[in-house]
Amino acid sequence: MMRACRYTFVRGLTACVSLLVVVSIARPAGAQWSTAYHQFYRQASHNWEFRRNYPAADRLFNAFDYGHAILYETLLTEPNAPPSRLEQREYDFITQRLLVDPPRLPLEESAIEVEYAKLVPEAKEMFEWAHILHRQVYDIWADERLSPESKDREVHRLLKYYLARRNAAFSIRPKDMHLMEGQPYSLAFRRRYPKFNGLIWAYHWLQVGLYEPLVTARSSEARRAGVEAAVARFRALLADPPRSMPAIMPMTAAVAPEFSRRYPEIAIIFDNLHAMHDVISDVLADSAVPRSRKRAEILRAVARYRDDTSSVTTVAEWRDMAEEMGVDHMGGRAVTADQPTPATWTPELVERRLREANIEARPLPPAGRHIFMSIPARSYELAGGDELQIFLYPDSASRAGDTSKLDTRRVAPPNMMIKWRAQPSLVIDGNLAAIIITNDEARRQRVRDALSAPEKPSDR
Amino acid sequence: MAEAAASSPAYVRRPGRRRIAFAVALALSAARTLDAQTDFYNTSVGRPIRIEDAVPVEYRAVELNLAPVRLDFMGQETRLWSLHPEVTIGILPRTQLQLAMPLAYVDAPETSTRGVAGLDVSVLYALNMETSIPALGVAGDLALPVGPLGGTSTYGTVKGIVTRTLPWARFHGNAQFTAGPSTSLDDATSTANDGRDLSRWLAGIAVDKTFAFHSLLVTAESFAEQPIDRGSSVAWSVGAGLRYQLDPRWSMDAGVGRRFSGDDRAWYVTFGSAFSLGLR
Repeated sequence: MMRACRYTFVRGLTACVSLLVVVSIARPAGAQWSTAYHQFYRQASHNWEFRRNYPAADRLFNAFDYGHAILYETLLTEPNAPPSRLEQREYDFITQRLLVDPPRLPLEESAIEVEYAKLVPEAKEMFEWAHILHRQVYDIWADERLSPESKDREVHRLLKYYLARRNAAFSIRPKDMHLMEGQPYSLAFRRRYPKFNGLIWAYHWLQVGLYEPLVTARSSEARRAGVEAAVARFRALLADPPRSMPAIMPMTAAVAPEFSRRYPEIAIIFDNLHAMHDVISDVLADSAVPRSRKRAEILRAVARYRDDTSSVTTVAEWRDMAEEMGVDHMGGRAVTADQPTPATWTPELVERRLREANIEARPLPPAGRHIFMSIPARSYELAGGDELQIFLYPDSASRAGDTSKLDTRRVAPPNMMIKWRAQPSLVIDGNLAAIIITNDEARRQRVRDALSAPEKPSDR
Repeated sequence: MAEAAASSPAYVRRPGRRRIAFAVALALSAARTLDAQTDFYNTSVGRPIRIEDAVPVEYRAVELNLAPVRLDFMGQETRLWSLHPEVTIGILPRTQLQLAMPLAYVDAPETSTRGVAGLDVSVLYALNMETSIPALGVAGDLALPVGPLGGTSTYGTVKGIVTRTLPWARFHGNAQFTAGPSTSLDDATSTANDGRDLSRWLAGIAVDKTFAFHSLLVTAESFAEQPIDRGSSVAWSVGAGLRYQLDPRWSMDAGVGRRFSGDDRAWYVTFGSAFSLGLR
């Protein structure tokens, strides 16, 4: 019996070894043999602190996971789909459903971008590794038990851990724009899908914009207010697409200058990460790059963003470039703790702003409360029978509690159909939410400007 | 420790002990793990099904399966409980080391037996990450004779794993072979004292479907195994289960299955949870 056993074992082992040999021989020929691997995040006491202290903002990142994943999967697997596939179907799903009620946990992107994950697991791993860096820096700065000095120390340990994976880490050297915009495939994505591109840039704005209040605030309350303001700004970027969206890629040095001064290497990593997101979108979207060459093109770009030699520029030039491109085109500078607190909207301030903008607004008698808002509106009749509804909350968080549940395009909850008597649009700013109901686009814009204008000293 | 709960050994029936030992072997075979990931997406042996994927735990990850339990409803009003504490460490890129010490408790009408059922040391190595080439992995396992139900011999197992992902489902194939002495159905003592994974060979496939927004995986499998008992017929099993991520560090799983052929046909259910952390 032992002999039979041994025979069976040897036969089985031979089969296993043969399989390995076949696989090994195939390796050089198979350009798609990948030895990328996953690595666990750095174990530390601050793990998941951001999730614990800022759950609403943290959940948004789970929704971002989907946006990135479905973008790549769609570009790769449906190259001939009409732009509406992403610009309408996916965009609407993301902005009206997913960002309104984001997933409670980070998504398993491999289950969403199945074909993309198999095309370039190396690039996917680089993204994941950098996204872990993102989240862990948030964790450190969200941990109120740590002093600023301890946070600096932890961030530098984290950076060391990140950079130890040379085959998955982005370079800490800034890259020039030629790498992103000077390639044959460059701009293919944003030209074909401007709205979805704006969505991705809004994601990237928030990802770096959150750091500024976290590192500049002097108290947990200030940090909380700053994070809420950053999230509110992000939502405002999506309020009126594509006009309200970033027009150029948000750069960390411009959006979060204090964070970039404090941690320039990490800021550069994030800019390289976000630039490579755009590059891969371009490669996948460009029909001139056939499917058979997409992996090679992406791996070439990946290598350039990983090495410390390709298209390198200086840190000073990188900062200058960020400033010269104009932060206002990137979605604006993130809120910092030393900036004046945004004006708290009051009925008097609203009416003064309308008066100053020469907008006729006659107060209307109180009406019933919308079932999708927690407070009643103050309504005004505008010229031509149009209407303006104002909702004033105690603070921006309370306001966000209502407006974050709305499909901002229809000004209604995602699953509810509201029959407005004219085209509605939503304006949010701090503790204010306003619904403009008009078909007069010029009037809509004047009201929007009046309620969104930068704070004036006289308001305070 | 193993013990006879009945007041007199005279009440212990030899066929019952043999069946119990055989069932323990089969059950622990299903519960024994070569891979254990907290991430709901990556399946591992016994959590909740027998067929696993070709992906080890992440490098520098530590995963603790503290109390995964399995209950087998066997014939003759016999219940088999097995507990499978284990720790899995990502010791190198694409490589995991796992230590497990299964415990078993057999609750039969006239006897009860409990104790440690061996010590398993295993290594899983992923040859590649899936591209146009399926993910391939190899694993080696050493089952040491430790504890009252740990038998008297050392067994070695080699295993090949393949995983293929399609947009609508993932498929996994496992094939393994175990080297070591056969036990005899006629030798009640040896079988009763060896409750480890004693399949001579095992081969099977599994399919799973991911519901990403819910962090949920639903899976099903079918596999055949040749028990290491001399003269036993091939046992064919089917099973199904789910894995669910509770939070970033905790996951849970539950499964149900049935052996449809072989010498000991039984229903079984499993339930477990796992916690992950990283090496400092």
